[in-house]
Formats: sequence, C-alpha cells, structure tokens
Amino acid sequence: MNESGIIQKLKKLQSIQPNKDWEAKQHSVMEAQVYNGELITPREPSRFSNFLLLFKATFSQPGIMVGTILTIIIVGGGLATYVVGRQAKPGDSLYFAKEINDQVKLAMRFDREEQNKLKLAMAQERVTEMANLDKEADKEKAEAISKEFQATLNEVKEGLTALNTAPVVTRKKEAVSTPDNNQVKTTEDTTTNDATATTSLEDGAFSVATGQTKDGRIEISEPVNVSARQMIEEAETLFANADYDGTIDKLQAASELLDSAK
Amino acid sequence: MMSTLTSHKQPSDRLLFLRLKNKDQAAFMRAYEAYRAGIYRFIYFRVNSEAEAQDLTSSVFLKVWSVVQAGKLKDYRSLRSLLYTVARHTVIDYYREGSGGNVSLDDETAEIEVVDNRLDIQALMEQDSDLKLIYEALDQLKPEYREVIMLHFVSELSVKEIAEVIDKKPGNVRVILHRGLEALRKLTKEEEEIKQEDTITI
Repeated sequence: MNESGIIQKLKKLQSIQPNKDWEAKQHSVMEAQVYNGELITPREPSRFSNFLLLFKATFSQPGIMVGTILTIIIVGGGLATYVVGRQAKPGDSLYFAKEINDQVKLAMRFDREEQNKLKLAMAQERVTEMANLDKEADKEKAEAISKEFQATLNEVKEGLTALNTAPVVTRKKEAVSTPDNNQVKTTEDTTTNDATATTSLEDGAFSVATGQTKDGRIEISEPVNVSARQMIEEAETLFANADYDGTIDKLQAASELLDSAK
Repeated sequence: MMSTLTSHKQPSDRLLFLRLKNKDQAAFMRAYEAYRAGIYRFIYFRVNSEAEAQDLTSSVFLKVWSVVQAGKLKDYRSLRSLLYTVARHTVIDYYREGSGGNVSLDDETAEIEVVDNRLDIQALMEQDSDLKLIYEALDQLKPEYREVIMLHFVSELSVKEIAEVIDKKPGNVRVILHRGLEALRKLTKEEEEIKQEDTITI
C-alpha cells in the first residue's frame, strides 16, 4: 500500500461518531452549564457586529497595523503627489511627478503611432501651460515650457521619420475667391490612400501646395508622416509667434491626420 | 431555553473564537456543536473507551467554558487549536491520574445506554482489511508519530495548528508527519508480507 492509499484509509476513521443519545443528552447538560439555568433565547450578533469584531481583531495586530499605516502613507502620498503634480508647470518642484506620469503613459503604448499621438497631446498641454503663464513674471518657467515643447515635437518628428512605410495621403485644395475683400479662402480635403478618413481644414492649414491641378483643385499625394511633419513645423512657427490657439489647432490636425492613416 | 442555533449559518472558526473572547454563550454552544464529534474522536482513539471518551469530551468543553468565563482565553491560531490543545492535556492528565480519573459531568450521563465504538471500528475493519492493517500498525507507531498522523489526517488540523497543539515548530511537525507516514508504510508492508506468507503456508 502506498502513502496516498494509507492516507485514504486513515480518513475512513472519521466515520467514528459519538453515540447519538449521548450527544442529545449532553447538549442539554452543556446548555444548562453555559446559560446557568437562565430561560433565555440565545441571540446571534448582527453581521455588522461580527464585521466589527473581525476588523478590530485584525487591525489590532501590531504587524498588520504598521503595514496598513505604511500602505496608507505610501499610496496616499503617491496619489497626492500625482494629483498635485498634474497641476505643476515646468520648473515647479512637483513637475517631476507629471513627467513620470507622462513617461508611464508613453511606456504603456507600444505602437509608435500611438506614442506620437500621445506626444502631440503632451505638446498641446505645454501650449496651454504657456498660454496661461505670465511670461514676464515667470521667464524661467516660460523658457522651460518652450524647451519641453520643442523637445517633445522633435521626438515626434523623429518618430515620423522612422515610419518609412507610412501610407500615402491625397490632399485636394480648392481656391475660392471671396467677393468682399478679395481674400483667397482655401479648403482642403485630406484623404488617406484607403479612403477611410477625411479631414477638412481652413485658411492656410497646409502651406505646401505642390502637385497637379485638376478641375480647379490642387491634388497633392504624399505620405502621411510627411504631411504631419509639415503641420508640426507650422505649429512650431505658430508657437514661436505666440499664436497658441493656432498651435493647438495645428497639433490637433496633425494628430487627426495620424489617426486617419490607421 | 432551547436554542435556535442550528437555523443560522455556521460562522467562521476565527469569528467564533473572537466571540468566545467576549464571553458569548451562543458562540460557545456553536463551537460545541461544531467540534464535539471531532474532539470525541480524538480522545476516543487515545483512550480506547467510549465511556471515558464521552466524559473526557464533556470535560474538555467545560474547561474551555470556565476559561472563557474567567476571561483568560489566550490568543490561539484558531478555535480548533484551542480545543485540541485542551483535549490533549485532558488526556495526558487522565493517564497521569490513572484510568479512574473523575471527569463525569453528572450522574445522568452514566444512565445512557451506549453502544461501544469498538463495534463500529470492528465493523469497519471487517469491511476493509487494509484499514485493519493500518489500525494495527498505528498501535505499533511511536506515540509522537501516531498523535501527529491522527491530528492531521483524522482530525484534519493544519500543520500550523498541530504545531500549536503539541507546542512544536511547524517545521518539526512536518518532519514528524513525514517520518510517521514512512514508518506506518513500512509497518503496513511488513504486515502485508507476513499475511501473504501465512496464506502460502496454509
């Protein structure tokens, strides 16, 4: 007989039970002892009382109490740093928390296009920070934001350059003369080669206009990454000219273009 | 005074223990109902007498209740650890005092007509010859091995609970359990071989 066979047989000994009559009699005897002859109906505590009892017993243990306090401090501190860090601007003492948060978000994205889109969103945040900053009073911060903005966009441009197999986009430009002030209004349709997405932009959304004229429209076929890169460069110019709304629009358009190329 | 305890869901061992620390009578009766058979079995296999096992079982629970009432309940890993520790010491005291130790609750229990568990065990043995082999081999084991084997496989205590009951480290309990099982296996094998030889001779 092997070990498991022996264990199986041993468990059969569990079938030995006390005599039923003795059990019944003994129960009454034990109740009489415990309730001391009182004619009371035992009341079970509520679930809440039981919970409190277990809670108190668990957290009164020194090891668990210390562990809980440490966890609260670590998690609470981390959360507080994260929340405060989200409001921080470059140069602030808690700005590192925001940077860590951004790095974590980036690390969670394995697709290069997704990374580029996230970086464009981060660049838009820098623009918003800059727009809300008193540049005269916070020259250092303004400088730090500009550097951060530029560095982020450089990374995006590098990322776009690395995308060699980017799809082709066809942009159609239509020149429309407005009668009031002879301004030329330009509308654009941007379509990817799989014809699944279209982006319409107005008034100088694209500065590059090369290609073949057809029915009064200018068609430009080029890879998405080239178009997006041009938009980013235009955003850089707008940012340098302190046109923050224009910068955000341009970055948003670049992001949508990348999105449409999927 | 008849309780309505059986109508409720059985609370956890730990919760019962905590309630006992608060001198909860209902919790004690629940513990009594839950562990009476197990404690009885543990004692029965140590004293080999149904009447003595019944008296000692009652004695165990009354001792625990007196400790609860006095508010002297120490912190145990589980309620089972506490009950089996008291049961073990009760059996040790029983042998120290001699088999005539006076542990009866009252005279009423003596009037109960009982069928000795030896008949149950004999019936089990007749049905299962391997079990008979093991039961006989258990008798030849070192008491330390037998105690740990019974606590683990019959009473179903964990290694940590057994460590608390016999006041040893869990590592030691594991070693005892391993060696005990090995010794039991060897003894069983020897018995089997002897039986086979006897059969061939006949």
